[in-house]
Amino acid sequence: MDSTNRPPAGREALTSPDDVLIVGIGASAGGIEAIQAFFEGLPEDLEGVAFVVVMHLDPERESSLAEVLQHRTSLKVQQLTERHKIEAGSVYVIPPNKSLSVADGYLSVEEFAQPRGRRAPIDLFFRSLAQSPGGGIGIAMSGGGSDGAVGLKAVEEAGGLVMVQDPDEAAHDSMPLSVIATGMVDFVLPARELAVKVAEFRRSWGAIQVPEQQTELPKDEQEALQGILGLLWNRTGHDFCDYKDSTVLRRIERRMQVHHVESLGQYLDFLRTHPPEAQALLKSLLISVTQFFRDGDSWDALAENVIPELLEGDPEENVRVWVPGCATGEEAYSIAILLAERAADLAQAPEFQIFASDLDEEALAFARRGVYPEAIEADVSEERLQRFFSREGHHYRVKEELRERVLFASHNLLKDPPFSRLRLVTCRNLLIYLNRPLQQKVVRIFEYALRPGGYLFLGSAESVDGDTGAFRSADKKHRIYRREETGEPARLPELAFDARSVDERRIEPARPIRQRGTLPSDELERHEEFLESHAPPSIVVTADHKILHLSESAGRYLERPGGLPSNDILREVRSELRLDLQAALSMAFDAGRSTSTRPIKVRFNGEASWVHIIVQPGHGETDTGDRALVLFAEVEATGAGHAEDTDGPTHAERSPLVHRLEEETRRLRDRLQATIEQYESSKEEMKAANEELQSMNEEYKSTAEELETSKEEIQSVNEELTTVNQELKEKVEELAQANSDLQNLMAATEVGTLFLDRDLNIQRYTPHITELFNVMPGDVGRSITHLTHDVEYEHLVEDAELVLDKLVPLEREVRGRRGAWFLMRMRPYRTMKDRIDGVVVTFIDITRRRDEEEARRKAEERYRLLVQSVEEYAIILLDTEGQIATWNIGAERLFGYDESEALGQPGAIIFTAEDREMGAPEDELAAAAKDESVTNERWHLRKDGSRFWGSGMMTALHLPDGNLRGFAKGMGDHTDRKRAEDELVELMASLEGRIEERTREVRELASSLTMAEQHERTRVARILHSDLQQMLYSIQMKLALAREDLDDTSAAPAVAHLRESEEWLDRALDTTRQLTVELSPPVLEKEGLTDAIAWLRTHMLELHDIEVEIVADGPYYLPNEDWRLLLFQAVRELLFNVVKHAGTDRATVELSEREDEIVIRVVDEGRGFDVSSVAERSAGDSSVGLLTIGERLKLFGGRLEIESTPGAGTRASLHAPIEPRRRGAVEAGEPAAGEAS
Amino acid sequence: MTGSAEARVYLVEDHDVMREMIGEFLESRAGLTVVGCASTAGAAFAELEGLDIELVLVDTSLPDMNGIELVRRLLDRRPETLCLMYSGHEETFYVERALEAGAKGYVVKGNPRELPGAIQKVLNGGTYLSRALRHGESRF
Repeated sequence: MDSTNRPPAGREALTSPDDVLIVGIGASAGGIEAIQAFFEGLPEDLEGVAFVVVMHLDPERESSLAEVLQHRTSLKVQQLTERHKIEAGSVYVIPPNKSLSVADGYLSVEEFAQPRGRRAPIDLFFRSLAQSPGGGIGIAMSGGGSDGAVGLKAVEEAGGLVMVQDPDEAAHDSMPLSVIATGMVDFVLPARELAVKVAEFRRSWGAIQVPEQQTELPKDEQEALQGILGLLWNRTGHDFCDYKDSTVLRRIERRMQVHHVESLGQYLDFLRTHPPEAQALLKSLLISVTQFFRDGDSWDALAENVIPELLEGDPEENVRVWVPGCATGEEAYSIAILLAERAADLAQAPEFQIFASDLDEEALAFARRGVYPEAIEADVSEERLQRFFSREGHHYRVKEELRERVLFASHNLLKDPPFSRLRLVTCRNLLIYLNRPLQQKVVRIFEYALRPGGYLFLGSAESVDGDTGAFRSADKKHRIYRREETGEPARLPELAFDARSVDERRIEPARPIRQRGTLPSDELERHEEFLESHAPPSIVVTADHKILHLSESAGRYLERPGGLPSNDILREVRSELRLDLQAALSMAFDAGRSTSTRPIKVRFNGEASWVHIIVQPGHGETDTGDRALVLFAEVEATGAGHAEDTDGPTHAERSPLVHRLEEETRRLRDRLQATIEQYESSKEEMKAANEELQSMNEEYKSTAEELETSKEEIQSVNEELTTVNQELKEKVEELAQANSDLQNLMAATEVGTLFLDRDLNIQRYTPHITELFNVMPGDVGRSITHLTHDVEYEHLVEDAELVLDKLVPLEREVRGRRGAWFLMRMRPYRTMKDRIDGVVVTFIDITRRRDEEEARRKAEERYRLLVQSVEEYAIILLDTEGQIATWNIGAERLFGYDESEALGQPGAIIFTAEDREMGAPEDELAAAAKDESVTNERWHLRKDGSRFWGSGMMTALHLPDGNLRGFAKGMGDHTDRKRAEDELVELMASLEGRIEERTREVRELASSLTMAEQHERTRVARILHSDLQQMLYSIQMKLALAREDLDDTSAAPAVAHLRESEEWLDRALDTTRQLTVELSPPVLEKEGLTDAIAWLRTHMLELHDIEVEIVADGPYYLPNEDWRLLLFQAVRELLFNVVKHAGTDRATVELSEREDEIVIRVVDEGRGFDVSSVAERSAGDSSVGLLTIGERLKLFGGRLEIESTPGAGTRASLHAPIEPRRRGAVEAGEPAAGEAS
Repeated sequence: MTGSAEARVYLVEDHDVMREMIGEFLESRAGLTVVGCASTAGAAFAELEGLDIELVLVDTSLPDMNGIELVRRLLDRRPETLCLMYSGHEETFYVERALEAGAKGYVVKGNPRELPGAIQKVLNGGTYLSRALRHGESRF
């Protein structure tokens, strides 16, 4: 009511028309367009409003938002840079990278406390706006994310107005939608229409004012208030009579402002004509804005001092917590977070369950979803966000593990039975809305619900006081109370659960009307009063006989019976009237007829009166059902008729029939009365039962919620089971496959197998067993002893028992029918879990193996006898160690040892001492082991020390598995052969030596011959050249001189003789020259080999037309003339070969020196020949002469190599040592000729 | 050359009869002065040291050294000396090598009449090869 002084900030603040209305506009993406539309839509004449525009601006860039908006409005637009007083008619724009808040009429610009990405400037501003008088108006426009949603809830709670741009119009609807999701929105409209609403609101804002206390209201307004609450009660079932006047009035005032209704009376009319408004008002009244960890200090105290104690108890016992008035669930989740955090620290923490209840179904739905705007980052630490929430876009969703701890239920704290056996009740900022008596009632409910030692956590402005002694303050500052043990069981306050108490309160709104008589105010009321005073006393009742209204004097027809008060007219009305009234009422309601009773005698204060009861049915308001008016008409005059009918004293004079009838009637009436009483009492019982049922129902409801939660779990478990089932199915198929494999395997093994259990009953068998045992499919489960079999085996049972007893496998060979043999194996049956579960008996047919063994044994015997009987040949078996194992007659004869002497002796005894010394016996064994068998020829020793030449073989013997078994040694006496052989060898050796010697002699002879010939040739050539030829030259010269002399004398005949002589001389010279060259090339005497070959080249060209190319690096002097000559001749012969056989006129002679030898190669590319075929020819084949050359070279330590391929030429290489290594007779021949010629 | 009679010639020939014959033949028939003669290369090499001669007639076959080799060494020391080979060998092998060694001519023994002309030609600064060689004949 104070219009001059600003009331203190806070929810109790009221507003005045002179205050500046602050309109906060929050927007983000797509917001500029919307804000522009908004300002364009503002009426020109708007006054007293300041706008604050908060947008998400790029922190890095200057903003031109102010200029952009200035174009659209006549209001002054400015971007804030510093603290600024709010003035009407201004538009303030947030600067980039700053946050904005409002307080005490000033706008403050601040740095962000949060890092980029976690900033919520719109929320921040709206939160501060909520603290300003009246809460102002908060508008959310186009934008992404959910910034603003939390702040606008605060605005709504503070009594401000919340508007949202129509999401269909908004370019980005995420922000508008998240605000709408809070359920606390007054208008959802397009931007332009929002502007119109703002203007309308401004006009009614401040003008519409309602005082804080009902008593300050004018009487009619007080009545209107009662009417509003009554209507609300009727429409919604919620009673706000016990809520604080200030709370209720503030909320109604806001609704009035929203609808521009100026008085409570008008609002009552509005409420009547607009049914949805009742819900809106209810919602407004139920508003409770909660936050995560609101008043952080108190939560810290709770976490520190209470939570640990709660979880300390018996781990088997659930910790139950109740959060009544949980609204959108933040508080409930906060408690859950604290409990979960603490429980995580404990090794063994008890389970905990939080019951969260509220009246507001929408809020509960929100809470159950558990999705909160990202602005909760301001209230919830990052760590908790990560641990308990999952991020979904711009929202956080409570994780399932936390969600399932909280059970949300629709529950009326004042009406419905409470949850019980609780350890903690958190009820913050609920009591403040209730009046004192109701507060005390609620506290008593908590007392009942909490176990001793439990805690009650209240809001910062609330406290427990009054008459209850059960609560002791545990933390006064943070409003934490402990429920003490009082020694007596807590009692539920009745009123909260008794339907009658609600009924009583229902009458309450009518009280002012009853009091109105003392204060007539207008003609209508005066008329009513007049009617009231003159009309018969009347009561308005409902179809179920509840008293709705009493006229002033109607009370005289009522009487209070004992027991609890009630407003049932049939209980309250005087007993004399009860029967008739009941009849009349039933007539009125059932038949809809107005009825009047007979006159009934009633004694008022001992004075009898006759009363008619008239019941007039009528229709009340549509939603309240039928009503009836009960009129009491007193008849003072006692007419005869009446007297006759009712007057008691006269009845004696009546006829006996009448009397009897009357008696009958009285008796019936009494019985009826008794029945009625019986009915009443059973009704009471029913009510009690009903209460119990209600309480149970409450539990059921909670359980149902829990079941719903667990249903999801079960569904997921079901999923898992389906998967497991699928897996099992596959396993079963695998198993079936394995079983089938096993069956086939058993059939395929052809091994008869019996599976016996511990009692030797047949469990399973393979087909092949039926050949031995007369077992049939029906025998499974029968004892093996009952079966006959075809095996000569009497100890089957004993053996099986032995196996079971000792747990060792057992093997026997048993004979079957028709001479068949079986290997029977019996081993314990071990299960996968290593348990002995019976015996497995297998029968393997070994008949063939046995037969084979028998055959082999016989063969061996025969063989042994054979060996034993051999006399000429020693046959000895040695074991692996080389010791004699068998010794046949042959051995006895050969070596002289008896079998008994030899057996066990080392095999070495038959070796000579020299051989033993050299390790021959061991070497022989090792060689035999390595190479399977070795021949053995050596001198052996007899027992008598004589020797003989033994020849034979030693063979290694192996076991079937490949391991060495021993050695077999066979031997005969071959001394005679050995001797003959030795002689032959000696003979051969001497023969060869002689041949070799002779060959060498021949070779030396040949060599000497060759050299001698060479010498001779050289000598002859020298004589020819040096002596004969020179003399011939001299003669020639003499003849020439003589002929010249003779010319002068003209002795013609003589001259002619001379001339003829000269010609002969020339021919002689030619002959000697040619002979010289043929005998020995003159060039060889002093030239190097290269020069000689060069001479040969010219010689060959001139004589044989063959072009010889010489490739040489040096002159290659060879000191030995014979050798030189030999090589020269060899080359010449090779070249002759080329001329004769190669079919080419070209050849190459290559000379090279390597180390101490000279290599001369004669290469041609002629037709070539097969070298091997040449080698076969006799050395005497002069046409080739190659072998002769080779032979000659050999005498001097040289050699000739021929490579030739038919068609690809020949390559002959002469290898000659520089100093010849003469062999044979060369040394013996003439010494090398001197150098002199 | 004006006075062939005065031309001074030295003979290297290992065969005594031959040496005498040639000396007599050259002096009597060719009008040359045979200043000296030697039967070995070593002796020739030593004697020629102090002699003023114009032409040396060398046999190819010498007991201590190849005649062609003697020519090479002689010319090494006295390049102005004119050398003429006189040989029983008529293979081009010898001829080429003699000319290569620096000899101014090559005369095959067996036609003494040829010798004075050959000497004269060499003395006159020419080069002489036996007719048989010049015609490329090979009679052996």
